[in-house]
Formats: sequence, structure tokens, C-alpha cells
Amino acid sequence: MTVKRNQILGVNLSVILISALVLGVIGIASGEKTTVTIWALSNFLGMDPLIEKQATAFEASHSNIDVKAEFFPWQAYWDKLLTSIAAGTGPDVIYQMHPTFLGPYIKGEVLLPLPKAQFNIDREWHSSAAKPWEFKGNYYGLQYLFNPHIFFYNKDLFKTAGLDPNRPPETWDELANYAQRLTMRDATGKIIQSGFAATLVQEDWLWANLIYVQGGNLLTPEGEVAFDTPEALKALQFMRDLVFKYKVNNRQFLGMEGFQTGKIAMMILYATFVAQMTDYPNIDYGSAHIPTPRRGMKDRSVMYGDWGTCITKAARDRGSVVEWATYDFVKLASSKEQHAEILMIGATSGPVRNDVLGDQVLIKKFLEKYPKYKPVVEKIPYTEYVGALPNWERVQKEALTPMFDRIFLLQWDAKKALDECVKTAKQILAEAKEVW
Amino acid sequence: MRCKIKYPHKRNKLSAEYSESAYIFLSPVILWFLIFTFFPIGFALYLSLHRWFAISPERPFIGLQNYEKLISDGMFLLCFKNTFRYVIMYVPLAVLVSLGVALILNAIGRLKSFLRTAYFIPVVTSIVAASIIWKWLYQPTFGLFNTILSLLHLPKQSWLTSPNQALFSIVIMSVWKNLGFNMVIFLAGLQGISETYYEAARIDGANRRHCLWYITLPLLKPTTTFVLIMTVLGAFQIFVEPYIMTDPPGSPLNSTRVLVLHIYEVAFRWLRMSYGASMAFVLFGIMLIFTVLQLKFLRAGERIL
Repeated sequence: MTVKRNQILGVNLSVILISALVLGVIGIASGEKTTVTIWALSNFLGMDPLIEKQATAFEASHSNIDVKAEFFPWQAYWDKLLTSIAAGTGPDVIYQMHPTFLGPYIKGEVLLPLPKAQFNIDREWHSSAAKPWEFKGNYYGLQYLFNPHIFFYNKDLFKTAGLDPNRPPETWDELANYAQRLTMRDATGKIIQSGFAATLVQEDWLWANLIYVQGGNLLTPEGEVAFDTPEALKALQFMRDLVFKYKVNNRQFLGMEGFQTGKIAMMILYATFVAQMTDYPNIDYGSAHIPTPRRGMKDRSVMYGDWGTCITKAARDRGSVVEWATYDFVKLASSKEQHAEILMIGATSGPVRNDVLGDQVLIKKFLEKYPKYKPVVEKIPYTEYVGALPNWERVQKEALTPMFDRIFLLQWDAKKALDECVKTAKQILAEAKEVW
Repeated sequence: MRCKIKYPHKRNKLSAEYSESAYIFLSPVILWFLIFTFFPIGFALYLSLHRWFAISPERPFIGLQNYEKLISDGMFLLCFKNTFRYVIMYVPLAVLVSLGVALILNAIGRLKSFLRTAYFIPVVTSIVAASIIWKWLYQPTFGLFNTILSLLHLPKQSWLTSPNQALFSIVIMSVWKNLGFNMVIFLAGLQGISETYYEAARIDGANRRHCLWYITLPLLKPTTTFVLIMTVLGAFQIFVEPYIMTDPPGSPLNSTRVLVLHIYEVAFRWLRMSYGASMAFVLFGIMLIFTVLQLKFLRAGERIL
């Protein structure tokens, strides 16, 4: 029995030794070339092939560098990013980062400021796309996406209701009027076609845009609540009226899939929803500027930041070769040519680089391919940066969503619901300062 | 009177060698548990006594401050209440329904295998896929359930869109999903009850109700204890169903915001890892108390012969 036990032990130890040797050899063999690792969201606005093309092009011009692009589904991306950075095994490049998540990453010192000698962001990027990434004089990311909210409407439903399909509503009164004409009910009074998605379709961003067009804001530049204002209350009351006074929509109806299936006639949503509508070619729809409270007002365009690319401290920790290779890769990926490609594949609804915006031939070609993005391109020149939205996801979940639930489910008065929301939001934003 | 019989334990050379071999073969699993279960638990406990924002380099020791904060954290208390409500609604329903189905299946002769498989299929179905389907079944305007209700001239329900109904809607889905699992355990327990007990009872004039109440249920007690404990533990850890079926997760009005969902969001979305760890330990403590109480009350009166 002792002999048998020793044999078992011997076999186990041999297996462990051989495995270690093999892994060591692999480790040595893989160490000959420098590798730059990129993490990106999988199938995010069709960027995957472009990112791989960028990786291949970079490898072709840098023979001693491998670029490894890895793609993850949404939730896995954020969970893995967080845990791997905490463990020190994160990527060199985070291809898609959003400024609303930026604070903890900067505070945790896991992102590298972009060297000013290599990246002339002030000059090359539209100010509304550069400022969201600026912190204490340094830039931590390069935005590639511009994605404001615009107005969508179903032209076929307009025709059926006797409305001009080329003349969408321009004011709130017109919106309410059109919505009532476009709402249909069955014999029991149940809505079977909604005139306007006043609820269930990004209610918080609808509300935010209705505040913006009045000249209001969500937060102050110092990151404090700026929606305890008459503009915010007016916007909220308008949404409440659309549901309970004009009865054009309710919480029992569909979300954005209602627009995709021709059951919702109008809605306000992020511009790149156009990419999601390609699966529904039978829906003839148009896009326009967001209706304003009164005629003659401009559809105010704001930016609080959108998707961009960052470089992590891991690139520096792995040595100067990796660090400079990473800067070179990001410079390639954020060049005018690559941004033109991003534009033409429809991964952005408008350009963020000044040279791309100023290229009239390119813009004309872009709008011929994506005519629905015309309102976006028209408003880029006057888009303003209104400040970061720190810890915004928590504000949305704990303050804004309950506010809309109270109004649309419990029929609370708009003022009462807004007051509760403001109270909760202030508390969350005060705590956010610890992390931001 | 209780009496315990002690069996004399003989230790011999042969047994010692087998024991050593056994430990050697068990060592990889023990190592696995140490690395991937006990170490993370220990580290979570350590984190709960510090303040850490996931990727921050600083991790100052703050003692029990995280736990003190929980007492006054309104959202945590709400999640606690929601989780309790879910446990109270789900556990009795899940156990009774699965026991009922097991009793019926045990009594029938034909189609037993087919029905057992049919009831077990939801158990092996992806919880995410099932949650998405049920979310659409519950859709108030176009969903199947309200369509059926309106065909039967019954009032339509708000289901997941109502703060009063959303949690119970999730309970129904969970009962359907886990029915098969408890059912097969009960079936195994029922099949372990000797037929001679029933024969003797029938001779003495017992009817079906008497057999069920005085023979089946008492002899099924160990199985019931196991099923109850596992169901309660599973109920406290509910996460996927409210996460998938409600949008945003925990809505409407945070009525489906349960503890594990809140812990996940606090730790991984808002990066407050140490605060999330403290919540996880409070949940662990509650589950431990429940399990101990269940074992104490459910096993009371057992005799060792």
C-alpha cells in the first residue's frame, strides 16, 4: 500500500512539474513580441470590424507589435474591466469608455492623461466633445461618438391621421395636438396605437431634453442639482399631461419596440437609434429637431460626454515600449481618416473632430447615406458642454426612476414628485463626491 | 427515553493508509474550496471593515462604520423588506405546490415518467431566457396572460408594472421555474416510504387523508426539512428574475429591489465594494439564523434509537 501511495504522489508531482515547464516555455515564447491589448464592447454600433481593421493596420506598420482586440457583451465588459483593473490585469486601451463612469477611474489613478505633445485635443476636437474628458488640465479620453437626442416620427401613421409627413411638430402644443390625433383606441378604450412615447422610452432623457430646450440644465458645473427649477417642473408637468390629460400613452404600453413595430407614432430618443431601425425597413420614419415650448426657439443642443477611448496605467506599467505603442495606436484610431470611417459606418450620428465636421464633401456623403442624421449635423456647431454627470446611473435609479413611477403609476402631483426626487438626488450627488 | 448506541471504533493500519490516500485525492478539491470559497469570504469580511472604491489605491480601516451605516440606510432596509416579502410569499407556495405535484405523480401509474420530465424542464431552462419570456407574458397590453384574462372576461392585471403586483408576479415565475426541482426531491422521499405502513393503516381503517396526515407527512419530514431549508436559502438570494424582468431592475418604485440585486449594484455599478461586502455579510448572517432556526424547529422531537 505504501508503494502504491508513493506511486500516486509521484505521478501527481510529475504532472505538476511538466505543466509548469510547458507554461513557462509558452510564457517565454510569447514574450518575444510586444502586445497592446484593447478591450471593446461587442457589437456596439457595428464597431467590431473597424476596430479589428485598425488593429491589423497598426500591426502592418509596426512589425514588432501585436494588437490584441477583445470584445465583451455590455455587462461583462464593465464587470471584467473593473475586476481586472483592480487585479492589475486590465487592458492597455479601453476602446469604449463613457465620461459618466470616468470619475472613479481617474481618482483610482488607472487612466493615463493623454500627452499634449501627441494629442492636440483642444484644436482638433469640437469643444463639446473635448471638455467631458478634461480633468485638472489633462485630457483622459478621446471621444469618437456624438449622439444627442432627436425627434423620431412615423410618416405612414402621419399620413393615415391626415397629417403632413414632411412637417413634424415644432412646438409642444403641436406635439400634444399631433399626439392626440395619432392615438388610437379599441372598443374598450385601451390604447392600441400611441401618439407619443411620453413614458417607458428613456423617460429621464426625454425629461432632460425637455429641460434643455427651455435653457435649463440637470447639474451645475460643480456637479450639484440644477433641476429644482421652473423649467424642470414645466417639463415634468408636460409629460404628465401627455399621459393623463391628453391620454396619448401610458405605462401599460410598449417601449421603443412600439416605434419599431409601428405602434408608437412619435418619440424622442438618442440619434443612433437609427442603426437599430435598419432591422425594420417597413417602417417609413423621419427625424427632426426636438419640439420647443414656443415657435422660434432653437432646439438647444447639449453634450455631457459620449463614448470615447482611454489609455490605462497598465500600458505604462508594462514598459515604455508598450506605452508608446499604445499612444501610437490610439492616435491612429482617433485620426481624421478613422473618424471618417466611423462616420460612414454609422457608428456615430455626427462627427466630433473639427476637420471631419469641416469636410463638406464627407458630410454630404454621410448625409446621403444616413439622411436621418441631418438634425444632428445641423446642431453640432452650436452644441455646448453642460458639465459632467457624476454617479448619474445611481441618480437615475434611486431618484429619477422613482419620480416617474410615482407620477405615472401612482398619479402623484408633478411638484411633489420632483421635490422628492431633488431631495434624493442631492444626497446621492453629495456621496458621489467621495468617488468622483 | 433516549438511548444512544456507541459503536466501538477500531483503528488499524489498513484503514490509516486508506485515509491518507483519501486525503490526497481530496486535496485538490479542498484547495479549490480554500482558494475560491473561503479566501473570498475572508477577503469580503476584511473589505467590509474598510472603505474601498473598487479601483482606488486607498483602503483605510473604518471598523464597523459600514455596518452602522446600514441601520439607517433607507434603501437597504427597503431591499431587506422586499426580500423578506419575497421569501414569505415564495417559500410556502413553492413547497406546497411541489409537494402537491409530487403526491399526485406518486399516485399515478401511467405517464409518470413523461410528466416528471415535463415538470422538470423549466428547471433546466436558462433562467435568463425564461425571465425574458415571462416578462413578455406579463406585458399588460399585448402579453398572453392579460389576453387570456380578457377572453375569460376577467379584469386585466398590471403585473410587473404595478408596485403592488410586481413582486408577486416574480414569485409566480419562480414557483414555475423551481417546481420540478423540489418535486423530484419529494418524489424520492415518497418512494422511500414503505408500502407496509399504508397497508397496515388501511387494515386499521385509515382513509387517504389519514394516510397522508399520519404516515406520509411525518415520514417525509427529513425530505421536507431539506427542501424547506434549500428553498429558503435560494429565496434569500433571488437576483436574476428581478434583474431581467424589471426595467430598470428593481422597479417599479423599487418594489422588486431585493438584497442581492442591491448588493450587486452597490458593489459593481457604484464601485462601493466594501459597503456591498458589509451588506453581503448581513445577508449571510440572516440566512444563517434562519437555517439554524429551521433546523432546530423542524428537527425537534426526532428520536435517536
